[in-house]
Amino acid sequence: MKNKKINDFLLFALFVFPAVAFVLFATDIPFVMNMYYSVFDWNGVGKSMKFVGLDNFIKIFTNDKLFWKGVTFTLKFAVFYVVIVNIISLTVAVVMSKEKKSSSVGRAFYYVPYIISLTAISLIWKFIFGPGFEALYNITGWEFFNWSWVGTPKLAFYVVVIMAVWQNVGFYMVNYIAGIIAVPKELTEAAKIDGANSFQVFRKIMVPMIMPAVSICMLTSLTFAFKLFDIIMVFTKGGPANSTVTVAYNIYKEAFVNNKYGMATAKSLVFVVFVLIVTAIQLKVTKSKEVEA
Amino acid sequence: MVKKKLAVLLSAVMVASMLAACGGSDTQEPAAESTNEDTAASEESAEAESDGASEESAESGEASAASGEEVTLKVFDAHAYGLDEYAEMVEAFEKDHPGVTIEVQHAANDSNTLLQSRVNSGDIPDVFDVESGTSAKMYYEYAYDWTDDTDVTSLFNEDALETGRDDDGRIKSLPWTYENMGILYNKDCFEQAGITELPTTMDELEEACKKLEAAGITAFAMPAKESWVLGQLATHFMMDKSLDAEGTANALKSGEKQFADLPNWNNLFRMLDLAIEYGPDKPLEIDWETSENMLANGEAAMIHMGDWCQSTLDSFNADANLGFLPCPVGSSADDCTLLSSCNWTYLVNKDSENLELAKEYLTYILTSEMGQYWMCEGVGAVPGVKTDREVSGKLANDAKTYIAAAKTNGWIHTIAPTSYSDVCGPYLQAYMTGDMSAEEVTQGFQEFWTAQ
Repeated sequence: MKNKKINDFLLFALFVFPAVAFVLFATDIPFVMNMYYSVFDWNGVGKSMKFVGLDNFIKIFTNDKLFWKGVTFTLKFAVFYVVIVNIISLTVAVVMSKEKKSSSVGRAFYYVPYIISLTAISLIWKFIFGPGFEALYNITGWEFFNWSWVGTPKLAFYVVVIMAVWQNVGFYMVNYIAGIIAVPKELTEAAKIDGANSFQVFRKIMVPMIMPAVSICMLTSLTFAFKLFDIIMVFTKGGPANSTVTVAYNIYKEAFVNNKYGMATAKSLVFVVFVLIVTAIQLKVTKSKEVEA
Repeated sequence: MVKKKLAVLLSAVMVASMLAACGGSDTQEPAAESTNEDTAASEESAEAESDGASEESAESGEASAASGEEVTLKVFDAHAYGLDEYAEMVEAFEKDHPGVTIEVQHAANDSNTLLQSRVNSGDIPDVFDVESGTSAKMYYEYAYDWTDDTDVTSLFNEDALETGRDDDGRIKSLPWTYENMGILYNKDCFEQAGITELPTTMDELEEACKKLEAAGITAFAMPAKESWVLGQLATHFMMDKSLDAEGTANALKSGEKQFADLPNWNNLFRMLDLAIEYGPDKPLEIDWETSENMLANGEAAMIHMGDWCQSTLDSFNADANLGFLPCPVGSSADDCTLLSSCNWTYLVNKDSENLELAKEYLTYILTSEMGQYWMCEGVGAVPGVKTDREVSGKLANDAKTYIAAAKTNGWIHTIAPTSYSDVCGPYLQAYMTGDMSAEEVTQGFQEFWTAQ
């Protein structure tokens, strides 16, 4: 009996330890170092750092318009992104979860954007919003295609949303399909025999049963939205006129372009606290809706 | 059963997401690859040489591998121009120094980020380059002091050396090549539109734009998507010729000169207005690549850029008939200049394990015949070292005539407060989209320059 316990523990350690070590070295230790740097004025290169106490934090809250502009953008983006990407991917998943040949082709079709490199994606969209829209405008004459999508601050927001949704729909779709497949057939069949139509089946059986998938998707899409960086980095560069600066991009710029490393770490700490609060609330809400089969 | 299926699917998703993450980092690979290639190539040549060990190499190799031990010199090169010539140069150096391997990392993008992370992780390259001025000064505490090596420093032009001095006047870095910027124009377009005299004032520039428009040519393809181009453009309108770049920058930083009072400052907004009126329909979507492409193929007559883009322009259209137009900034022809500076500067890590070798290598790439071959023919630019060599770049040659006629000033944006273009460029974009007025932009510039 005792032997088995030790064995179990060894097995547990064998599997868990490498992962813990990775997380420790790649995330937790840097995080603690981050806290240390945040109370210094440091350019990220020099040998000397100047202790400034909470000055960096005070500056963030009193005198940093661009950071708060980034926060506003990120929040707005998060709302749009989480809602749109989840609705679309759930819809697609419902259609694609039917066991037909066409649906496996369809799944691949939606999943491809998720696995191609972002550099390629930015080229694709540069083409769509450039020569692509121009050609469509020439054919249709719709003013909509002639707008300067990437060059207008208001429209650039939607460009970022569209790109992010397009790129990631496949990922959430797979999650939802997994959830839908796991719903026991006998439940839906029984409901159908009882005369429920397909919307009722979806609303009363599917939705409660796939709540675990929903909460995972909500959580990952929310954290993705908060961390949004790569699309901005390769596609808009925060422009035009700083209209697409996200918090993550602002922090990167602060550290590596403006060379205010201490300030950047302080900003990231402020943001971590904020993200923790939001995700905790979100988890609590979705978890409470989960049911067991 | 159901749970098992779920677990399998979920883990598949996770693996896929890890793969996707790998895909995302593709952009960094070219830099890494070129390192490998360089080292691989150099290893080969080093081996080949040590086999055949000639007397000649034994002589010149004394500084490095005294006892035949293997030495690797870590070099960081922040640009990717003239790569073939660079590789030839490295090969020749390794031939003369058996046992020495030069490991070069060429970083075309984000060089600052890469270098900064290398320095932070303790992996400081033995020889590296950064942009001169504000960025270089951050690294000067790691830099070897060249001031007393007069045998080396005397090889360079005096004004080029100036770009490598720290605040105490010590020479902490050595200059690479001169880079010039101003308006680049397509001579054929100007001819088609019947423009015979180059515009030197704002009025003449507007006149030229009208003529170009009448001839059906887009006058301006200003790369307004790039905040750094707009930042550079703005410095033309700050320049006080009597003070030159450093004097002007200092006067602006100290608040001695106010932006609103600069004689030519308001013409910057006139320039942007021209760029919008006589430019493409979606000005804020023009990135540097598009603008250079349009210029080289005669779709646009003017852009703001410098001779560093020669090789890109050549790749779009090698026969393009291009030249420099000193940027008109006011109502007098005397004010319009090209801005010219040695804006990349090379440092030797003073704590390098192979300090002597690092110094020798840097002297070699910046002054030797091979080095001049790399700079003049590979890159096509005028080197900071004194030389009689012809340079291959058409624009650089064009700039030479203006340098000879004293129609140049130094660069302001490199000695401006840190991140000048990143902060002020977007203000100018906001002016172009109509989100900020000229007064607000001026105010923004003023606050940024005097804040630090």
